[in-house]
Amino acid sequence: MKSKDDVLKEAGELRWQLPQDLHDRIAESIHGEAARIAERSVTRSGGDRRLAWQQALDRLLTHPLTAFPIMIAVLGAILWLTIVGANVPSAMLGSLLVDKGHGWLSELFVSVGAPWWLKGLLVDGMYLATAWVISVMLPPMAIFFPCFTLLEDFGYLPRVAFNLDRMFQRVGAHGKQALTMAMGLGCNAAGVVATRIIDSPRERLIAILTNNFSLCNGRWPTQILMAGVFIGTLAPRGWGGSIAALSVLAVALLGFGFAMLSSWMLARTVLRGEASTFSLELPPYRPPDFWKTLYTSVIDRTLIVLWRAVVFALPAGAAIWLSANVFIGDQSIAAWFVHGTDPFARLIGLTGVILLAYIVAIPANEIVVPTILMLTVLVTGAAGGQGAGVMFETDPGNVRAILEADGWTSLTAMCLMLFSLCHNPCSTTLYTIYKETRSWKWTAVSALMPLVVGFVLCGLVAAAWKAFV
Amino acid sequence: MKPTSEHQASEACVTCPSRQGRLQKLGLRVDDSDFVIALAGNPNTGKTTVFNALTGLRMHTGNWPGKTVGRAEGGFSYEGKKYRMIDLPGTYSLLSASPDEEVARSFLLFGRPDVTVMVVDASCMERNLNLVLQVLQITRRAVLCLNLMDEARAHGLEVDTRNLARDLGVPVVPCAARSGEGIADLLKEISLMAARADDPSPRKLPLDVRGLTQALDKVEADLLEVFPGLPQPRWVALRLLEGDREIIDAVQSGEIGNLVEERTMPQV
Amino acid sequence: MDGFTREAPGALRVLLEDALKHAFDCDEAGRGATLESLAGAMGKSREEAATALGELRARGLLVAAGDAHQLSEAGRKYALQVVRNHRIFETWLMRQTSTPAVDWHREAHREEHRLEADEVNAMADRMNNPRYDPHGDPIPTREGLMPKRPLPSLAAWADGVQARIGHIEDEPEALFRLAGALGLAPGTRMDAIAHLADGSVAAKVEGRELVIPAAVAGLIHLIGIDVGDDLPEGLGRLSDLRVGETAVVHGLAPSCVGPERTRLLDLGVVPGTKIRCEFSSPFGSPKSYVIRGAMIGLRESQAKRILILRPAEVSSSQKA
Repeated sequence: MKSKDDVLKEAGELRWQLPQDLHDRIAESIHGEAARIAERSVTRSGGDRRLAWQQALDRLLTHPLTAFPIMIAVLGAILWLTIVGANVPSAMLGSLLVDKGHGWLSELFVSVGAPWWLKGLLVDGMYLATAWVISVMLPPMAIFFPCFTLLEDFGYLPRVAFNLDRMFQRVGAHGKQALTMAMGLGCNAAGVVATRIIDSPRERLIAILTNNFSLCNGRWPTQILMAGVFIGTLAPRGWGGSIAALSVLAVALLGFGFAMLSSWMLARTVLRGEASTFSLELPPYRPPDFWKTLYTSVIDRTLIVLWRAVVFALPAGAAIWLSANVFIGDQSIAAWFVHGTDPFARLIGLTGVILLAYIVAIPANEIVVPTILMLTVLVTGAAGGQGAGVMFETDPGNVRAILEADGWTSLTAMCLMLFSLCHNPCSTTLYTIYKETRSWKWTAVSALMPLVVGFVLCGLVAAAWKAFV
Repeated sequence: MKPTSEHQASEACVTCPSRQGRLQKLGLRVDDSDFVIALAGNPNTGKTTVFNALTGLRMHTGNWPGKTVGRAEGGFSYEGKKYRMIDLPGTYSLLSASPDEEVARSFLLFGRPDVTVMVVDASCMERNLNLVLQVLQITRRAVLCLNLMDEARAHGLEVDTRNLARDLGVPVVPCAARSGEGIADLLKEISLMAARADDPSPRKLPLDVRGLTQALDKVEADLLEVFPGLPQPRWVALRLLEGDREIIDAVQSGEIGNLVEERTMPQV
Repeated sequence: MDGFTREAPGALRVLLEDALKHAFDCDEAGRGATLESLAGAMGKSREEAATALGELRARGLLVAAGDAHQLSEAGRKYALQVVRNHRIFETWLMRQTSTPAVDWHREAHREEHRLEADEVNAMADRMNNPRYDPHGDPIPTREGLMPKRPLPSLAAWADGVQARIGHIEDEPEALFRLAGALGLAPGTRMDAIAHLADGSVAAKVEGRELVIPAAVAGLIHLIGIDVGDDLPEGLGRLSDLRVGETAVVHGLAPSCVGPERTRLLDLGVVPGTKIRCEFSSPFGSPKSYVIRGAMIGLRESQAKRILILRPAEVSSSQKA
């Protein structure tokens, strides 16, 4: 009677008698059998060519002359649709949640006789921050993600990766990083999760660490507002809108450049190694089911991302309110910080308020602009706010007046646009990076790398500005 | 509800302690289900669409390989029976040491699904059958879902499903999951296979490699001597010769023997 | 059964284990290890070599036989463990990381002393317990099993006899690098081997004419192959295939290794598969190929490692 060990021993010895390329031969054998079976059961009419329209479309979408213009046009169209299309619903949500909702809740708290600090913390802090995040984030994401998903389901995105692979290979990264970066334009956390499609751990890590250079939805409002309020006014009459739009596009392209550059640097230093394999399946084009896609992408991507943002916005709202209402000596915590950091911040073209806003806005980039406005009002005492630590919305002319009262110039706006591109990822993204890498070290790198780039970049721009302007 | 004796046997199998323990180890809740169904297939075959069509879930996964990350689970009821469905990672093969393939392989072998639904792209049969043949080495309780039939027709392809079913030894159901075509037939075949007491007859894979057949014969005979009644001894032997540690450990600890006891239960 | 106790980590462990490996190499070559051979092989002084030999004898790992030393049973087990560490780690670097080939040996040489048996076993398990390392050498199993197979070098190979590369020595590094640059890897097929007057060797390597410098030829060890297993004329590479052309896969080049090889096999790139170049990306690489009904994008560097036969050549080789 044989024992378990005898079986294993015999198998172990027999292994050495098998051909060295055993795995190859087994694969070959099974594929051969699969081909024989398929041949017996499948009959083909009209040759083995692909469908003519599929072939023509592939030639068009990957042709040296047409591939890149089409790619940029498609991306531009989605961004335009997102920015323009989100305006109206954002305003509606804002008036419902921020204006009306805040009013009702305030009255409710007052009518039940809640203490001022409880109402302040819950309603003016937590509720208002969350309401703002929902009204600013939900509409663009509900437009961007379905558009992205439609392209994905249609089969266009693998072609984008196919077209761009050579560039990414040159910098030592993977072609599929193009997809994760495009995804990052919607949300960096979603972009980081999407890096799972990259097999090689080294290249996946590069994609994770550089995803933050894709300007996410939460940062577009800052860009658009700054470009419109400050940069556009530098242009000659009638050109303001175009210049503003171009300056935002330039920042987004600069982000792509930084992503490539930092990928290249990472691949040459800490993440050295050879380019991994690349076998990208290019599935046939499949007309997507529009309504189903809309439904699933809203459920699957938009709401998940939004939920996480809300979870982080609640404590952030509390933090803003507390920092503006807890006093140490004669100043609130916020004022202490702003006054303390202002000299350094001005050196790199920013202000103390911006730095504090970016700390408060770690949970969600969307709240940067309202936080800046709120804190500026608080520090400078400019009119227009509802009170200390309360976020509010206001029109562009008003915004400019408030900010100029704090000594803002076009330089400040430009540096803020750059810093909005190059700073640490939001806490949702950082948490996602930790979950994906399981490493505090890489999470820290992903936070510090863009921050260093941002400080250096703003410092250089400020120095050049002061030297030449 | 009057379950037949076969049903009783299979149910006993799902809830028998040793199996339940193992399924739970694989991260699966089975307490309230009668049958466990696994869904296997290549990437890009519309596997997730089939999963959604069967379970009514609205999952979204992208149109490129390796996108179904982690394992999706869902459930459905059919003719009074509860089914628990597991979407395995989409893989091209089950022979390598990649994490995705390990998950799929060990679930099929140790999870002992009552039915494995193999989703196949009808317009790309040749490559898809590679995986199907491998799955059939691990489990014979399988149904082949010939998906994307609409696309295959557009490409001028015709599939002789009866011929294919005979060749593979398992039922074949043509489907177009996106439009719901064939899903009712698929449910019926799944339920028939789940209720079946005996395993369908195996399809022996000719492995045309010098010296391999003899080595497989020897190890297979050894295995059957130590674990009489072991299902798929040839696959286990192949994995031993390929050096798969999970299988080596399962033989060493005798855990592989548990598969025997389960398969004999329906005959009790 | 003689067991061995591993030295505690530190400089002495490195010294003794290197000395053991040298003794193992000598044993395999059928000669004993001497003070001179050890000092020479390790690049150490005679004093250090003498220390190493003395310590190993004191531990019962080496047995003196006249001038020479031989491994004891325990010494052989210990040496096999170190060899296993080295070869498993090299295989790991090749398959699981993107470490360049020239770094494999150096890193493995360092890690072989650091790695413990458990870690190495876990690595091996992750790779389905490979039998051969990237150089084509057999890896001792965890039970200490390893078949013996001394292979003749290309320098000593008979002209005209077909062979396959069984092993390439990885030292000196510059020459190993050169061998790699010439496209030589374990498993590579060599035909029409002819020794030239200056000691270099002319050969047909996977269908390409090559002249291999004498120094490199000494590093290459060959295995004979069955007569009649002729390589077809006109073998090409997938990278030669232009858009719209079709060919038949002859096989994967031996330099295609690790996950890349596995993935291509999974996709059905096996001998006999029809493959068509469908279109190219704007930069010329990657290109898309139709393989068994699916369209797959492959980079040029990958396409270079897939051997193909063009239609005309297919029919001629079928006739033959």
